[in-house]
Amino acid sequence: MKKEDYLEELYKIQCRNNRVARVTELAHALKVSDSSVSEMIRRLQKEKLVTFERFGGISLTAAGIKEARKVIRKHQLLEVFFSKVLKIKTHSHEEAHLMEHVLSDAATDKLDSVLKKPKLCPDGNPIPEKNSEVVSLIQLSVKSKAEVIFVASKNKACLERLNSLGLVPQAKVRVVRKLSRGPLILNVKGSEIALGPDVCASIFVEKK
Amino acid sequence: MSCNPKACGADIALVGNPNTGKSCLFNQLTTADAIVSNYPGTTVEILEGKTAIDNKVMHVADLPGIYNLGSSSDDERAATDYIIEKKPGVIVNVVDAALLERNLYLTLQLLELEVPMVIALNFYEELEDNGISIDYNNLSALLGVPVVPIDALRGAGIDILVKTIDTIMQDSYKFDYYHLKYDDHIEKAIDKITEIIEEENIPKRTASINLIEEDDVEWGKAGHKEEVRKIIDELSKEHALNTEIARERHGQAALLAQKVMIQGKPKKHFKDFLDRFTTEPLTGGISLVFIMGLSFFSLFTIGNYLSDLMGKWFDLLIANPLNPLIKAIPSTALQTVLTWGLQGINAGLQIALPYIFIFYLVLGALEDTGYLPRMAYLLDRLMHKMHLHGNAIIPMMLGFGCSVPAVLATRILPNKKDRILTSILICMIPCSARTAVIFGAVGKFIGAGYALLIFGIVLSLIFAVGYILGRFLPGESTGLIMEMSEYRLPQLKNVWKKTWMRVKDFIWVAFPLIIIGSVVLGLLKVYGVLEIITKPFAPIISGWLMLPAIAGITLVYGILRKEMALELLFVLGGSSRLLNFMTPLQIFIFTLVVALYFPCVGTLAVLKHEFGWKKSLAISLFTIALAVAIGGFVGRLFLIMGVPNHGNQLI
Repeated sequence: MKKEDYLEELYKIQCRNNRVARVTELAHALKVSDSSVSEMIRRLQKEKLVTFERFGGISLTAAGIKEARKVIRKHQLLEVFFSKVLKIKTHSHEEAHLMEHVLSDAATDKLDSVLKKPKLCPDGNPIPEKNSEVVSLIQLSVKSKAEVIFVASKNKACLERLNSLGLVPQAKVRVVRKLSRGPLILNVKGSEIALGPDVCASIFVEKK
Repeated sequence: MSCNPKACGADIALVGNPNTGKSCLFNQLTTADAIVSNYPGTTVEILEGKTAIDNKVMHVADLPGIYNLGSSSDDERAATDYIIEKKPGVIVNVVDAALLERNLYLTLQLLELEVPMVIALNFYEELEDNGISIDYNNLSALLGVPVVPIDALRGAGIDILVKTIDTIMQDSYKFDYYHLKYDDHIEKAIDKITEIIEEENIPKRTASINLIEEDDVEWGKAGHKEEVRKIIDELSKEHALNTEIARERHGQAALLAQKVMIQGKPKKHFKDFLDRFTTEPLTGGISLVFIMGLSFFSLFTIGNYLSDLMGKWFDLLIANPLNPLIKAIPSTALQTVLTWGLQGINAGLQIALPYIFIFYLVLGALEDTGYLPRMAYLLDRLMHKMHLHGNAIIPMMLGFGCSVPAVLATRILPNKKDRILTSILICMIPCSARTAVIFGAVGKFIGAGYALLIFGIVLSLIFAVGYILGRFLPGESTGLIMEMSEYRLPQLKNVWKKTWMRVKDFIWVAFPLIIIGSVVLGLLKVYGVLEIITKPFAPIISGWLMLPAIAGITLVYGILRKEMALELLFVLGGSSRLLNFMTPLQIFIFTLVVALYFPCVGTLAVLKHEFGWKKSLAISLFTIALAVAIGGFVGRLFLIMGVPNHGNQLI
């Protein structure tokens, strides 16, 4: 298993569940043992791509999310290429999965422009943009707009509150006000919500 | 629809998100009193009242404000159970028109239950002021239930709402409930589960969705657990089902809202300016200090004025005409009972009532404007120093009124650690009874500056305790997540109603206690029992705290109600001029101790109810130790600084 696979899978799990991921979850998804997950996570932790608390869970860092999105972008563009240009319907996912590791950044950009910069992959998922800026909510300044990637929290009460207030992946938000280093007031779906600095630090967004 | 309200719920139930003006609509519909508030968590209990529609008496229930049907909080569980189990005749889904998209999330869940319902679009006029309108006829057509725009504050649209409710009750409305389509894999699972389970009190499809969402409440009732669980377990290997369902609802709510909302040009409003002014770092800080200062200033000046007025009227109307009559009574025992009882009433009227009344008036106005969440936002950083978050400021503010509802209000905090720490701090916050003692003793006889000094000492102690204790209490804490409601002009009627409810509570509970307490104390004194009781405590009371022996006995009574400590001191000292029998330093120490020691029995009971005996006793002992230590220490400090323990002035 390659490092990219871990980042990619971790990203998918976190976006789907809107929380941190567990070791067993990742092992199940990648069909590897818990111990190999732990080993790889330790390596990624050293590279500051993920954070890992023994009893908490695994989460990508902003840098980790960027890396993961890069791989996913390659994967999805390849899928578009297979289905739109080559008209391959079966196994396109597997093919893309193999090729995503060897496709160079330059070739990816070329592929993107040849395909006329598609917004969605064949499954209907949005394709990450090339130079999107990934930060945690606390790093946003007043008036900036962003789209939620996921909430990297393990706190159930916190997650439930945020879910019911509409802070879910792909939700569009705008910072209305901010005190120097937080808390800030966020506009989500027309309502304004005050969030403490610690909550903000666990919410990753893409700057718009 | 004739139904026994106890067995099958009210005829009309109000359901909606927090802050949608449900309680306000409840007040409009019914004759009963209810508290209207602007922050989440107040309507913990289900309020019930009566109204007349078409010459028939209807029961109306106001369910707690929720964002979601389910069981993740007490409020959610209570509201959901009420709707499903008690089957109210008509559900009025109160929706904040300005937040249509978010409110529709709950509406979509209600629609799935296929209950008779009507959507009340509240604050509709306010929305039109902002240049937005909602095509509510279209919304009604899309959702298959009636939609009525209302303004619960001013009472607009209520008549149409009542008519619609009546139509539903006559069974003459044809519902055509909107059903959400989920992703294919979820729909397939819904179909499979629907075939297995039997119809209970909710539609099968909805029951299946609940099971897939893994709602605990429903799991317990599913008699076909194994089969159903298999289907769900299989599916949840690949999918995060509850998140997917939630996302689908959010997405649908957004689509629906887009379809019916017509965006015009928003007008600039004074309240937008006010919102900005009170939350920007600099001006927000200034306005916070100003608002707090003004509140305490009015509490002090108006409270003092009312207190003097009460004293005068009491003497003129009650004491002066009655005293000669009492003196004429031949029995000493009866004479004692009457004089001391009368003095108790006097003390209650002069000390507690004025300050408590003004406090609740100010708090009520603050609540209804929507300022409290802004305070939470501004003070979040400061609260972090106490290992808490901005949301803890709301129960703590309530604590300035009474610790009992304040401890209950800690339920809005999302975890145990924050709740316990906040409750400990609430026990130390000067509640209105203690504020009454501080103003009525120190403020009145030594000076306002010294009253503020007591507040200063107590507040710094609270800060220190939070700072130190917060570090050692186990458990993780959740950060601030709080909705900012819009500023609204408080309605005099609402504020008045709320203040009256709270003060009435105080009068009914406190006055009997004060009168009985005074009488018992009087009898003990007349028959010489008092000296015997006070003796063992002499080393602490007279030695360490340097207080007169009678002060010790009143401290014991203060456990019943805090302000009784001072009231009975007046009674025991035989004068409502404290300086006649205590030095200013003694008054200062006494007040400081009263402000800090032991939460009153009411608070103890609610602490026990929330956290169990062990923790509540630990909290009590802690505060006693703190009060005695600080009282003696501050006294010594004053002596060292050259403050005399005699005369009529502190310095």
